Amino acid sequence: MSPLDLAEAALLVVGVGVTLFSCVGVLAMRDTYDRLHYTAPATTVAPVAIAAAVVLEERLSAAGIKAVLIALVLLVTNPVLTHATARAARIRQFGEWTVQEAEREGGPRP
Amino acid sequence: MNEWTVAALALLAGLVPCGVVCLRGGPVDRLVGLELAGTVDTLVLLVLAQGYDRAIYFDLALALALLTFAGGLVFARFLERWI
Repeated sequence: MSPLDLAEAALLVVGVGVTLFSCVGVLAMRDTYDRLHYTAPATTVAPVAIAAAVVLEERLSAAGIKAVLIALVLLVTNPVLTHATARAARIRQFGEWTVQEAEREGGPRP
Repeated sequence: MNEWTVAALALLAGLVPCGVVCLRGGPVDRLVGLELAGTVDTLVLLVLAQGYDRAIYFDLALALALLTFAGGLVFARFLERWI
């Protein structure tokens, strides 16, 4: 086994492990916002690690470039999706998106 | 079976917790499970494309990534306003 194969295997293990950890975390948390936090590792670390493994194997051929593109798409779109979901959760909870009076430091405004 | 298909099989196990989340809790909790399942599916397709060694299969993962994003935004807007 060459060092390159070892590096690929290590990157794959990192990607798969982070994803599984993230899935279990989403299942274990109670709150919607806590669940949203646990989706972040699967959408940032895992695509980058797996795309890096593909690039190590294929160099920058068509497959390697597409893998990088997929990782970039996941990296860019998932924070937007997380924000939209959290916004929906908050609006459903409080009826509006703005800061509530009870949340201000020092209590409600006079 | 090469290392890539083994990785795809391991990633598939991650869909089980996502499915359980989709079956319990409030609507937004279920949406979070659906979004994470979309991401895990994208990674599965990415790893399988490399496992079968066909460059054209990577397009599937790319399409799924974009569609998960669009679908998630539509669901979020819908939950925010109407249900």
